[in-house]
This record gives sequence, C-alpha cells and structure tokens, in this order.
Amino acid sequence: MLEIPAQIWQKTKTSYIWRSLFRHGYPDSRKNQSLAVFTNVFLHLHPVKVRRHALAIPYTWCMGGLTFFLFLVLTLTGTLLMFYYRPTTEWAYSDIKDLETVVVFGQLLRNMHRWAAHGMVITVFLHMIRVFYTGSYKPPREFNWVVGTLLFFFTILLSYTGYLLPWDQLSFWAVTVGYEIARATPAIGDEFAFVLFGGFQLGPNALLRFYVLHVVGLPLTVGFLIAIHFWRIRKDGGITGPL
Amino acid sequence: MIRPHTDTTVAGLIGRIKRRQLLRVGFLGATLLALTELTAIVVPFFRVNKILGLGAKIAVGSKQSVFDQFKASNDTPILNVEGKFFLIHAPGGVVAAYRKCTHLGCTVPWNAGEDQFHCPCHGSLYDKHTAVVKGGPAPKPLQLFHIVADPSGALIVDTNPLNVIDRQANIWNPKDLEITE
Repeated sequence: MLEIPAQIWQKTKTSYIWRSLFRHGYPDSRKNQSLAVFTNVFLHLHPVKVRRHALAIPYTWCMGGLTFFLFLVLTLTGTLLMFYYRPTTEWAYSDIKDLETVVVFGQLLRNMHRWAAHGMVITVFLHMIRVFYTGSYKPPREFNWVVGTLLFFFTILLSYTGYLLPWDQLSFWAVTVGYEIARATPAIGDEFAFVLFGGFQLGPNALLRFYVLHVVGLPLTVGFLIAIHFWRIRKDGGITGPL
Repeated sequence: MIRPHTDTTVAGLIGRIKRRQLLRVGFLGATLLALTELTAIVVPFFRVNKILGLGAKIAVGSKQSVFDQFKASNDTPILNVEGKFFLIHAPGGVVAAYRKCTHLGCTVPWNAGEDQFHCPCHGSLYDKHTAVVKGGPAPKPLQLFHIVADPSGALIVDTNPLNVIDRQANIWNPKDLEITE
C-alpha cells in the first residue's frame, strides 16, 4: 500500500531536477549539514555552526537583525506605495490622502511604512549603542563599525528624504529648514543648496529629486553597504559575544 | 615594442615597463578618465537651468498698467505668487519686495484690514509703501528684487534671491528705486 508513494518519493529524489536544486543529501551527517548551508543562497550568509553565545539574545538584543527586518518591511511596503504615489506637486499630497482614505489597505501599508521607518531609526540607534557598550567596535571589527556608521548616516538620509514626500505643511517647512542648513555650507552654500534641491526654494524639482533618492539611490546604497556589513561579521569571526 | 614580463634584455625605463604594467596603467588611466568625465557631466546635469517661479525673470505687464492698478486699488500691493514678491507703490515709483520675512524666513502676506504686511509667524510688520519694518522682531526691511523695463515698456522682475537689494538700514532710501513714475 505504501510502496507507491515511497516509489514516487524515491523517483523524485533521484530525478535530474531535484538533484540540480538540492545538491546534497538529507542533512543528517556533518558533511550534508555543511552543504545544506553552503549551497543555499539565503543561508550561506550564516555560519555553518552557531556558537552557543550567539543565541543569547540579551547580549545583542538582535537589534541588527531587527533593523534588517524593518529594512525589508520598508522595501516591501514602499514598493507597494509606489503604485499609487506620484511625486509631483499637483498630486503628491492628494495621492497620500487617497492612500489613507480610498485605497484598499492603503492606510495599513502607509502606516506600516511610516512606523517601520521610525522604528528603523530607533533600532539602528540601539544597535549602535549595544555595539559601543559591548566594545564590539574594537579590532578586528573596527572596519565594520565604520560601515555601520555609514549605514546610520544613510538611514537618516532615507528618513529625511521620505519626510518630504507627503508634501504637506509639516514636511515642506521641515525640509525648508534643511535647505537653509545646506545653505550654511561654507563658501559654496548657496550653490550647493541650489544644485541639491534644484531651485532657490522647495518646488517640483526638489520633490522629484528626493523621491528618486528615496526609492532608488539611497536604498541601493544601503543594500550594498548591508551586504558588506553582513559579510564582514562573518569574516571578523562571527557574531560578537561575551569574552 | 612592448616586451613580455619575462624579457629582461633591455635596460632603462623602456626595459622596466613590461606588457602587464602597461596594460594595468592603461586600464587604470581609462577608468579614471571615465570617472572624471562622469563626474564632470553629473554635477552640471543636476544644476537646473530652466527655473520656474522664484529665481526666474518674471514679466509683470507695462509700467502704466501697474500704476493704473495701484490707482484703482488705493495702492494695494500686487501679489505675484509664483515669483514670491509684492509689487508695491513706493514713493515716486514701484519696487518688488521679496515676501520672505527677514526675521526667520516665513512667507509674508498682505493684511488688508491693517493696511500693512503682517507676518503670521512672529508678528513682524512692514510698511505698505516701502516695506520697511514698522514693528515686530524683523531686523531689516524686506529685500527688493531688481526690476528692469524692457524695450517694449514691460517691467521684468528678476526674482533671483541671491541677487537682491538688501537694505540694512530701516529707512526708505530713494536710491533703491529702479522704476520711477
């Protein structure tokens, strides 16, 4: 009776497609356990073996992992919001209003994006505090600390560029303050602000520029830096732990 | 003739430059050149040269029509929204006042009831005919844009905020007048 499914299972496991997808046997031997990790694109970031201390949540709070999780949430919800948002002065504000009142689940997605953005700034900050107080920035991890501070900087920039997009009074005047700060750059202030914002005051150019930076330029940069950041953790001896 | 890496028969500089080095330097040089060109393109590319609104040169009609409007409206300042300025009837002429409060940069509106400019943020007051400070925290009068009359008689206001008449003294100075009646 059970021979038929057993045969099908056996046939499937020895088929060409199965063996090209899974290039190792059942992970019950040390070799296959290693291969299961090595040959999986998602798992290969992780070490083959996890040290016991790495599982101690109180030591790291998993803040880096939470930050990455929020980054993924932001990427997903942000991409969905892009389907309804037009970055022009005519439409930006009313598109946000529509997302909140008309689009099915629009309010949910916008609020997820908004709170995840606030949350990411908080978790990045807590992550930095943890790394600092546990001394995890010390060699050989000093390079990764620098990558991390860059990521912090780009997180703030993402937050700042996203702030303008609703194009309401709050965002307009908040970013106007930013314009004046840019103008305070020594010697080249006026020219710097003009080139950066595309005008002598906030207008359609600034909105479009911030949009492109927010959805393409900065996320790509952050994704690239995240790859380096995670790779460095592995290369510097895995996740930090109590000495 | 570029020699392979193993050739040591020729002395001097020519002898020291091997094929590999030449290719390496050539490739590096080409990459640097391409990056330099890219930078040289990107920066001017981001510099907007078609400016709409604030920063543009804005035509506001003939001198006569401007003064006719003043006459018909008891000298009510004429608002130009996209250029962010008021045409105001100065003593003996017309000036264009940049409506950015000299206190902290708020957009200054005309207050018809009080017959003066009244900034909503911190209550700076500016005069109807000269835009000098009448009260509040503003440290100096509103800045003035340059106005020129083109050959056809139309007034053109240059709204470039980096090229303004920046009056420091809080009095009306007839020398600031560019268009006379």
